[in-house]
Amino acid sequence: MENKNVQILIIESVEPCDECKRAEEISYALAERYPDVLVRVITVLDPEADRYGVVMTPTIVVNGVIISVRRAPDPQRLEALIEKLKGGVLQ
Amino acid sequence: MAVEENRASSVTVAEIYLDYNATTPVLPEVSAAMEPYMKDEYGNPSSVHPPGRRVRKAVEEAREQVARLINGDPSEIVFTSGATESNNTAILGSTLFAGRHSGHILTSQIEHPSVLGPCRLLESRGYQVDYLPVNRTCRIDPEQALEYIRDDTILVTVMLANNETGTLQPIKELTQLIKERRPDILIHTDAVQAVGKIPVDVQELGVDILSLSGHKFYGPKGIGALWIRTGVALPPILYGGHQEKGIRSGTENVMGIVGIGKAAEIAATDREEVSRHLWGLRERFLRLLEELPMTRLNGHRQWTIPSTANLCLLGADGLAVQANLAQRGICISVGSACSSGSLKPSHVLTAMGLSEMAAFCSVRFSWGRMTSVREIDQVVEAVKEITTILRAVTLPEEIGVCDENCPCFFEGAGLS
Repeated sequence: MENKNVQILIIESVEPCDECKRAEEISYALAERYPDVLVRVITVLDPEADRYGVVMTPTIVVNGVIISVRRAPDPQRLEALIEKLKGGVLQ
Repeated sequence: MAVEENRASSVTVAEIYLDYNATTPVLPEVSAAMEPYMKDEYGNPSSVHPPGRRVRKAVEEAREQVARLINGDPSEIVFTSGATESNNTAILGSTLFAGRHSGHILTSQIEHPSVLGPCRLLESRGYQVDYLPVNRTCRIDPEQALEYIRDDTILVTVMLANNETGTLQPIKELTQLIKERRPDILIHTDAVQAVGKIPVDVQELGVDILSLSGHKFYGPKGIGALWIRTGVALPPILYGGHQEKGIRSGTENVMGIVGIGKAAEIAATDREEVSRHLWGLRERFLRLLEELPMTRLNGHRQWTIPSTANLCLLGADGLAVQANLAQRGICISVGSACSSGSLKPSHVLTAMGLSEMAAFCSVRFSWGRMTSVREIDQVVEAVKEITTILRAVTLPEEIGVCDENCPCFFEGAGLS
């Protein structure tokens, strides 16, 4: 895994729903603007998904914290979070 | 929350179980009591030979233990497979299986699905059902219930303690008011979340039928009971070998029956000590209300079982709170349920007047005799951290629709 300060993990259904796709779009758009952001997309079948107790998709995890379940995150709020995380700590 | 710490979250963490309303662990004394009936004591209690008689003795002893816990008579206890069967037997037995083709049933909006389900079935078969509303603290009004009683009312079924909020219903008052006017109406209470947690006395409650379940008070799953007052004729919904006085045919779940009996005995013995412990944990937990802004207790502060707190963490999606807590090894529940691919807010919380948004921001914590003060403190800290983060990254309107009639507005916790 690349050593980036902000890691966004999108856990999607096997056939991604509209919200899953929107979550991807929002995250990749921010990753283009912030070199410190790494986006990864996995499906619920991935063993890594078990760790997050996924009950609905999409589940969006930022640096290990589940920030959104069943919806794409708000782009402005996600960007604000990235700004904070560039420094390393989420509080 | 340090980022690096979270990246290392694959490390196994000790579990903190705060979902005792869903189920409780089986006490070691209970499983030890059950063990012989898994191995050597395999007789059928209906058999007249010694192996059968030995097992019959154990079943009857368990009947006495369960009866004692609720101040009933052993002859009034019928063992079932659990709360769902108990509730279905009470509701369908007194209506459809009693040969009636119509009539009126009064229940409440906040019942468990195992009560609402048979009530809806009855509606589809021509019965009429009224659903009593609750106030903002999740309580019905017994006086208001009287207004719903009709000439053709057959049955009133209202739960004793709500599974989501823990709030107690005024069953004694309800029963008194109804029986004074209409002693012929059958009154049933689903006491599954109350038995073993608070003193439950069937004589004091005045009901005719009461449901209880073993795994809610440290007994095994798959075993429950009905208490049916002497003189009340409740037709069965299962037909066969006439076990349990014909009310519940089917070879007895001996192992489960012995387990629920032992659990009932322990619950009766330890009640005061456990109750003190649970109330202490609740008061300690509820300091979250003071320490975390925009947090509201869903339910009544005093009229409650001591083991439950349902909190609305306004602005934090309950599902995300639950998932983050689970990641830290903290197990809790949310009331919302996925139905046909869309998420529905809890019917209990919406009945209390909560908006969709406030209901989606609500989570249930329920603890038990094994929960420690230290665990409560850890959970309080984790909830504070997670809620603060989620509030920062989520727009309230993303969670659900707000409503100006929601109680959170009246109680000063609005999101303005």
